[in-house]
Amino acid sequence: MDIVVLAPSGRYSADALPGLAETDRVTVVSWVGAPAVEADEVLELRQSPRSARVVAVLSRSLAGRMLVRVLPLDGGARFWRASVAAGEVARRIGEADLIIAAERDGGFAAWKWMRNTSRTGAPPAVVRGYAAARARISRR
Amino acid sequence: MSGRHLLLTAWAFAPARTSGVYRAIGLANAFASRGWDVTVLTAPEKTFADEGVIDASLSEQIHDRVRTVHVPFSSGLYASDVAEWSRTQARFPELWGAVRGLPFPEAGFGGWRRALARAADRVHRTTRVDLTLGTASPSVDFIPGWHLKRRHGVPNIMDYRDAWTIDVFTGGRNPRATRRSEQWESRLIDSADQVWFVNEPIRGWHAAKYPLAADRMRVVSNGFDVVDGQSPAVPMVDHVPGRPLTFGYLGTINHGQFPTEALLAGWTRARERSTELAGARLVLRGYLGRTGIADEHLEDFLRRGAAVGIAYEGPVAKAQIQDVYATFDALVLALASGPGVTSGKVFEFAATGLPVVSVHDPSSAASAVMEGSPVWSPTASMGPDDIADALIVGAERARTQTAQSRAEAISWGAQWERGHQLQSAVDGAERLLATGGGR
Repeated sequence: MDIVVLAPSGRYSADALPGLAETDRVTVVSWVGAPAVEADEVLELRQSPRSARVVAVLSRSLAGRMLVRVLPLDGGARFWRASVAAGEVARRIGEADLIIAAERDGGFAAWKWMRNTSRTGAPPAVVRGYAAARARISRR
Repeated sequence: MSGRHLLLTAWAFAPARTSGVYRAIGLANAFASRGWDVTVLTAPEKTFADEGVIDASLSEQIHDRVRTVHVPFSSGLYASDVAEWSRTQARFPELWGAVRGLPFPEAGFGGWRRALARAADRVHRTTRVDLTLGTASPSVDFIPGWHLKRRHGVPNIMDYRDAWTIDVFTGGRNPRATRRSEQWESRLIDSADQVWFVNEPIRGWHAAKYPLAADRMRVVSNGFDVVDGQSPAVPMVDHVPGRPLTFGYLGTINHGQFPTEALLAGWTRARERSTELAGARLVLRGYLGRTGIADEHLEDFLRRGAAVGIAYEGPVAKAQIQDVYATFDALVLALASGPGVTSGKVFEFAATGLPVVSVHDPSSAASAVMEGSPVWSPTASMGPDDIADALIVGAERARTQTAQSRAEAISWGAQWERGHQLQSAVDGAERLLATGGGR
């Protein structure tokens, strides 16, 4: 099973998806500079440090997060755009059986990739959160 | 009394295995076994299946007279299937959630209000509802009762298995309560014919907050469940001399609620002081939090615990719990501290007849349940020495318990069977209808 984890912060641990087989492959897509993660492959996306700082400050409150969402520097929208710009992400998504939006800012990219892949054939399963991912994996 | 129709609202119902499901099942079955037809408004099974929080064995526990109606539910908290998202939900999740929450002030659940009211209307139109009962949390479960009461004068009972605007750990104001949620709670309680709580501290706090409704409030305690005719009682088997003792805990292990540090410190101290404890094991069974996976704090606790004989051995299906209890020599009732905390587990522990070591604040409502048990060893405080004392007493009881004292403990615990606990509540509901049905 090919699994792509959209985790902008890079927070991922193999313990999040127990029971994977040797032949399963996990690719984590995160912003560059995220801490090292235990995945078969990590694809790092570039972002402007200034945007990241502004978003981090505003995201400390619900009102701030709602404001950020409607601005171009929204983390979810930027993560989606950066993932489109990185050709390797599209290739991995194209091969994926399961896409996981592991964080809130990975949700929009997951949804957009689901829509894009559904136009080109059978779309992969796309879920939010590791609990849902584990439920999907257990049903394979 | 028979042929009456109860509309029960429980966001989670079998086969969902979230907290509160067992009380909801117990309530439905208690009315059904008295001849009532019970319709349960609940969220679709997919909500729970997508998150992997299903225990298929629970469906087998439902009485034949209970019928479930799945009411469409969507929430940012439980929207795990991205294929079902709208663009707005994907692009502006906070805004989407805020707008959906407008009808009712409860984050993640407020958007369910209208669908619940419509479903209640449909059920009442098809088969007249004689009584409504909403079991919360979430508090939006109170809406169908409030709605049918306003529209059709149907008597209405609110069942708090938790609290909404009151913090059950302190009795003070829940810091997450808003002015709007306070207003809604006041409105709902004002209209209810009865308001049920799981223990006296929680009832008392609400009675003080809403004195005009105090005479309509009562405690409807939780209890243990008899599954397939089997209670959790563990018949005595002969001691094997020299075999190390196995202490057990069975229940959900939530970071922030399960007293990891106090338990670890007390257990370690007990092992230092007692050769019996030094060779003993503490086996933890149950789900790790809502999602079933340890967060970093629990992982750290389990890693440190493994070095001192504490082992986590996974979750247990409801139908298997009796077999698991039978593998233990004594139980450790480790609970969050707070006068309003009972936990459903305390009743099950009491029913086993096994020695029970309490590792929770002595002021916990669980103490009121266990008081009188012949095999109870409560800690005097959450300090390591007091917890060690309790564990050492518990170990001694496990070694010396006889078939007769086990039977006596089982007999004492039998009072906490859920159906037995709920009978007087059903009596009270029937009296409510017999006296004209509501206010």
